[in-house]
Amino acid sequence: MISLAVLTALVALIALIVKAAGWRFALKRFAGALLVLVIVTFGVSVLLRFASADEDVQKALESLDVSPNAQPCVTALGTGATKEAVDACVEDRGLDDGPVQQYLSWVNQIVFEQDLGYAYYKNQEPLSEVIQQRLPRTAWLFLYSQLLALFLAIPLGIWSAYQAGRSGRTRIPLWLLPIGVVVLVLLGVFGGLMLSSVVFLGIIVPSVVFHLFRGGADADSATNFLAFALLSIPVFVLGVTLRYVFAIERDVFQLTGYEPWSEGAWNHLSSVWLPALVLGLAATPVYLRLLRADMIQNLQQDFVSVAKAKGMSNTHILLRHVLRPSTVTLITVLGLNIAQLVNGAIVVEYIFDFDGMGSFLLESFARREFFAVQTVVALVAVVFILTNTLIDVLYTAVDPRVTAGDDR
Amino acid sequence: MTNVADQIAARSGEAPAAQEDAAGGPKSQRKSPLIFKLSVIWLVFLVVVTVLGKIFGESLPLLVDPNERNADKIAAGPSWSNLMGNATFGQDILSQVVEGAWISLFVGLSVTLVGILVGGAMGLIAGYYRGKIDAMVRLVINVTLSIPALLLVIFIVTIRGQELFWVIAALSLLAIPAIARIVRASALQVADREYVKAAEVLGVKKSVILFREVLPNVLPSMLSFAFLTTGIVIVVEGTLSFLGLSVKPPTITWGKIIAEGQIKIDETPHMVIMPSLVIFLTVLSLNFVGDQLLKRYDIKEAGIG
Amino acid sequence: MTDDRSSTNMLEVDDLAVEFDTPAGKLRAVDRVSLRVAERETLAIVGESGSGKSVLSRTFIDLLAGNGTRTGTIKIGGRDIDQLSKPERKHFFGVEVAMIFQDPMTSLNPVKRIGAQLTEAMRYHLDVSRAESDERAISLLEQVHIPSPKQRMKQYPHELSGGMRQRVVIAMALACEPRLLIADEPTTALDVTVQKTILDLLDELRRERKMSMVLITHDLGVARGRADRIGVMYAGRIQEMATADQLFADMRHPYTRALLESIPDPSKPSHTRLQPIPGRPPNLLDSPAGCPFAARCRNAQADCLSSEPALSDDEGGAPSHVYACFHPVGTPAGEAALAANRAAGETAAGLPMAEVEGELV
Repeated sequence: MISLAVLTALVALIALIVKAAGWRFALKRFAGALLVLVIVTFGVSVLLRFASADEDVQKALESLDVSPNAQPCVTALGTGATKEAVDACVEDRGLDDGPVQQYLSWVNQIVFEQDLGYAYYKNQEPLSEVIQQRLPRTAWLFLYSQLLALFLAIPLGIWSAYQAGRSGRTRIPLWLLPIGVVVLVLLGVFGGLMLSSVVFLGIIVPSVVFHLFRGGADADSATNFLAFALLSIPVFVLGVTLRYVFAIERDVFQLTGYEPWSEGAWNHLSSVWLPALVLGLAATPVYLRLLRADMIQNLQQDFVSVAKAKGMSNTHILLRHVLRPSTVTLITVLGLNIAQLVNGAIVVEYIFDFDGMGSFLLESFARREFFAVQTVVALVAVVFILTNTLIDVLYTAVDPRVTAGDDR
Repeated sequence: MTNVADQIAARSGEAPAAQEDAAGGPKSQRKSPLIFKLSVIWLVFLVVVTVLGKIFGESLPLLVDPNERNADKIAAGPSWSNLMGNATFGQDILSQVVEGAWISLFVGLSVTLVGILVGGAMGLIAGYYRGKIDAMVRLVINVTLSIPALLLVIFIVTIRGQELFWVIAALSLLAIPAIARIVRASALQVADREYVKAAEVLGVKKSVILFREVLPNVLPSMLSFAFLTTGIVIVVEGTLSFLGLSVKPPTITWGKIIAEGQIKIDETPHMVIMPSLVIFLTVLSLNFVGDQLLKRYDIKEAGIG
Repeated sequence: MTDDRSSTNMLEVDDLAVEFDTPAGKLRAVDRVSLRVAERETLAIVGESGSGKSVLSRTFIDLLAGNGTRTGTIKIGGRDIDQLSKPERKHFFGVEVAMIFQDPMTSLNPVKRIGAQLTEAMRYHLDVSRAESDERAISLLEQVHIPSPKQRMKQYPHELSGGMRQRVVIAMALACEPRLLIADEPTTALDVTVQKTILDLLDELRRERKMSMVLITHDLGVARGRADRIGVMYAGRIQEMATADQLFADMRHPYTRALLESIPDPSKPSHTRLQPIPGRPPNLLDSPAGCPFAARCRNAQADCLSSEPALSDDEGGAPSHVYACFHPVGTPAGEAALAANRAAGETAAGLPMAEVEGELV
């Protein structure tokens, strides 16, 4: 089952961390991680007891002769449920127990009995099956989007950091850019797609390209500003807009749904690329600005002048001297992003009808299946903590001055 | 979508651990006053229109009842007489956007206020006093980091109900640790400075030092993060209402307009684009102002200019 | 005029000027500098911070900030650096000429091992195998007297002390056997006790390898005894240039004299007052007319304020000793000027003589 693979992966990870950074570090980290995990899941478990219910559920609660704590069960099973079903559910989930007891039996169920519970109580669909089916999809989404983001952000970040110190030669004022975009959109809305496409292709694109390629600090600030603007677009806006834009060619681009690798590479990729593009574009400006800021700082260091004095070429210096120390922040954020990619996944999977873990979470919320949510959140937290510990260890490879376990 | 704290950090081009921002070339400093002014103008304009719209409603020119359905204007595209067009049932989009702005701004500002007050206090105390309080605050921050932001908000709103109060509460729960982390980092830096240490050595009480020396120096960065946070909150609220999880109808929010518009987006693209434009410009302006404030603060720190 | 030597010169600089385009205006950091360094010779360039000496040294290896422009010619080993073809240029800097920077803490890349940094230039410029470059690196470390060189190769910069780091920097510079070495304040960031050893090391290496050296420093004491010739720089211009002996025996420029009076001299009786130079270096954005040192000079007269003296030598004296002054020290014109100022109580620039002659210290 999944658990065996997961377990071996876990053990391998732990071994790696211990080898790289020592027992004390590993122990300290895992103790801290465990604490956080417990707090999070216990918090969720407690908060659930305060869930409010809507009127129908209240009425059903009163009409059926069940425990007052049965509210989540009634919600889960529906107002037409029988008393026996509700009682069984209450028993099953320990709703009559105190908060600590309930929590502990949940932990027991998850960790020791390896029973992840139900994804949908009503039809008794097990959570583990849902995870098996949906998790890979979201995982692919994450992977492709982050790869895309890095693929765009790293070269652009390096290039614009390099340009930052040099004198530019163009005179196009930067503030034309957002105004230009707004004008463009308005034209499109008022005057139609034709007119705005003409303006876009004929005037705005050449100006921007011209501006960027003339080089110098102007190109850097142009790139920086574009990144900034991209940052300011909410993910859902980006998703909806891109979906609309690409809807023009419905036959070529598959806009919804998902195909796994087993259906063929083309099918798989064409079902994933658009949501991945959206998530990737959302992450790109963040990475770009981080990398650029660090590189600019490092480029001002003496050892860069020394390398130039030794006659090394600019490319060599950029890539082999400056890049490595500049990736520290990037790596940190990449790790922290794991937890937050879930946010993006929720939105994007909703927009593109992509049946992954994100939309599962939304559905669970809608059905008030909080137990499933609690379990998934726990899993996310585990992955998050492990990844970040690994990244902490990775620091020592990138920057030997830092010994693992430094408190940032 | 990245987590709140990192978004704040990323928007200012900083590392999450609040390192110094790298200076841009001289030209970028020359250009920014103009965009800065434009951003401020837009924000002021937005606030004024929103407030006036809320108070005077339909009596203002160009505004009608946002919920009024106009059968002969169903899904009408924008034109010079009808600036933003009409929605699926003929409602005037311009009025809807103005109405929706109220929620976005109200939520944005309330959450930021709570965040600054509570999170700022937490961060200050943790960063200056260190010790057990600091450990606790750090724990809180780490815990919040491990939970996907949207998830937490959706969770709270679903449990307690889709009311304005809970939306604000949920978003505050996000903003507080995010701001606390940044204020703490700033306070740590300031606490290390010599004038603070001098005051301590002189025997001045720590609480007095906190208010007289530390707070004023942390305040500028707090201010700039206030702007950045407001932008993020507006985005998250928009996402929530897009997913249908924010305040319920008949209250109008930007996200809701977009959600409705995207159902038949072929017919009603303007319903998506108009509010999107407004959101984009607002968030961009907020980000830009916040970022500029941060840069000016840093440069003052370094003693130049 | 310009200093001239008949033998082949390792470094020939003619009319070099460097200007920076800043938001506040154009800044002239180096103004019409010409100099020569012969083979196996050491030239020291002395000046306070802001005199332009660092910018000058960096232009020798064509390191210029993005907003800077350079005019004039620089020839190293007889070759004009602006006329180099692309393939020539690729293997020129670091090979013909090398530079050592001031701060050893920041001169080394903190994330790269010592060995990698030493062999980098060799493997880029010279056709050597990895093993060979490693061997050469180890021998370089030995030459700069670093103990247990083999272990050092694998270490990171932060594991070494400041003095050792500077030795590594020197080793790095010498990796491709340059004929000209430029040392920009190589000892300023080091402890005093270490300074002497580093300077001795540089001397030793220079003699062994028959290199020419340009030594930049703010400390006349460092220049004395280590340099064959010394150039004194102020406000971006060379104010005096002479052999070391000539300079100390027979200095002409008031700035040189002021510099000498401001450094402690162990041969003088103890408690001798140091005479600091009043005022501040001129604002290079807005260069005043006339001699740049006039506002702080003991000998200043009216003509110093209106026109700029050119470099010239003593009439009938050594052609190798040039200075830019209308009323130089140790000449009748200079003595007269000084007497006149003393009588008036202040210089022509309005500087009270008391400040400039030590009563207010």
